[in-house]
Amino acid sequence: MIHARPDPITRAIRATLVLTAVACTACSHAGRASRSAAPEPGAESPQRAADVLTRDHVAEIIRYLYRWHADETLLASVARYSETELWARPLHPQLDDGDASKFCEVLFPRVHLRVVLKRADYLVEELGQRVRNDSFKVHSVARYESPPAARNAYAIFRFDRGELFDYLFRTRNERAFPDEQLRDHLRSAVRKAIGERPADVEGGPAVVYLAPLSPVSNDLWVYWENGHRLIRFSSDADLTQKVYWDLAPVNVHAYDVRENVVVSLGEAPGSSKYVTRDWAARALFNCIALGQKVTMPPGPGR
Amino acid sequence: MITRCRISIPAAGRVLAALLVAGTVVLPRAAHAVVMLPATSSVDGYVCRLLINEVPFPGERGYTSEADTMLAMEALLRVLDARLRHIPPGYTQQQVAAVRTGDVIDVITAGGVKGQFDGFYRDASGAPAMVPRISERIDNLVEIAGRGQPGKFARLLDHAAALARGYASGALSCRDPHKDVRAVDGVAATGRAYSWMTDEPQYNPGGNFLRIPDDRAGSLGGNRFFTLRKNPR
Repeated sequence: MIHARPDPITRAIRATLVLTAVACTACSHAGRASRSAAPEPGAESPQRAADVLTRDHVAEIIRYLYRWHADETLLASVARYSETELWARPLHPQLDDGDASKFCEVLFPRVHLRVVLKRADYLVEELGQRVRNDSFKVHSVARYESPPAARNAYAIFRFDRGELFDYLFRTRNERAFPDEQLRDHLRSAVRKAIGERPADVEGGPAVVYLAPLSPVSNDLWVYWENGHRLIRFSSDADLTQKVYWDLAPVNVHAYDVRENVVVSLGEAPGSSKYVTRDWAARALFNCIALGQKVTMPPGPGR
Repeated sequence: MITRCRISIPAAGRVLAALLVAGTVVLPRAAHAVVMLPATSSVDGYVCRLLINEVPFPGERGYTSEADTMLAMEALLRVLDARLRHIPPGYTQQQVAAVRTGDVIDVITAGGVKGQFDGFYRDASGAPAMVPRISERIDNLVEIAGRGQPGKFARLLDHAAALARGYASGALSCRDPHKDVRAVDGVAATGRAYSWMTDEPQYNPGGNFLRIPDDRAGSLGGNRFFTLRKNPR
């Protein structure tokens, strides 16, 4: 059980909100924090900010960050602290008429990491379908130099780092994969994304690796082994929504790990074509080491 | 360009008119929109497709609002123009854009095997081309835009086409959200954006590019924009 100690400056409040995962300095599972610290006076709707993040949800955020964004330097930088701290506040970007989406910003101040969460809720008129998330999803992750707002604009939370790291370590390999219905959608989407086989890809069945799913991300990563390509499906919609798959043809990105990877982005300044080897390695680790191997027979006529 | 297809109403006889008045016959409303983009072989057609490919549409990751996506398109166009016409002192166009040219198509297709804008290149005959996934994505967006009454998809596609048409005809009057970015985290900057990338930590143009922060509209349409150091390293 991970407990969050109340900020000594503020009054403790009763809440089921636990920012454990977040407090873990942006990486991996937090476990089961039981209380959240009371927000400091002056924070904008601090209870609302806290309400955005349930215990389990925050734990999943940390797991996502651990798998996709953290590295050893990040964790090493907070090793000397006995507790981890996160700041949270709602955001209010200008939205389309009728869009009821909500945004929340979470900062990990000791590692200067900023996570924006979004809970989408709007109608895609052309498809007659509503994009609606069952929970807040990671919208963006970035490092920052200075906090975007004054400290008193945030609700501040602190958690026992030892418990957090213990949970992080124990659950570091927990994984979830698409069920059969999702895999049917995925097979079709991957076949479309692969399209006609490039000349450099040998024939036969396609061997793909599916990265584990995350309840806080609508990204779906696939490594196509014989095509040497990382394929990413992404969407504002949840994987379980029909609209996700209706938009799959426009939401797919492919990276050729032989052609689009460099050691340093300084090798091709200004180009949007490349990713670093470190990043590609992380994606491959998630797909191959943690992922699920699937063999797809050639499509009709191939 | 958005055109509306109207279903013709047959010449109304008295009976039909009576039925209409009685409300027992409902005439179909204006049918679906038809979005037509300029030809890919034209300058505005090619520029327009770059703008469309680089921004999120409703339902896509990174989508915030129609206004945000439109402003992102304008910012992208400003990057192209900056690489073409506003190379800052201390830099060469080759350094900033990987090409020396007065042609915006060359700016888009620059880089050869180290392409500046992934998926856009010149084919063996020298004609501007794009990889199939880009053409397919745009075809899908156009098809979606054509369903039902003109909506966000159609307006966004039309906005890209209008921006590109204006630029190709020599008129660049859209907003430039990064023109006056003169410092980033205490580092003197040139102003204007000279690069963009997907707004995720793993993407960074490197070199003398400076990440424009959020409070200077650095993140638009799921893209992060970059200016240049005033004093190159």
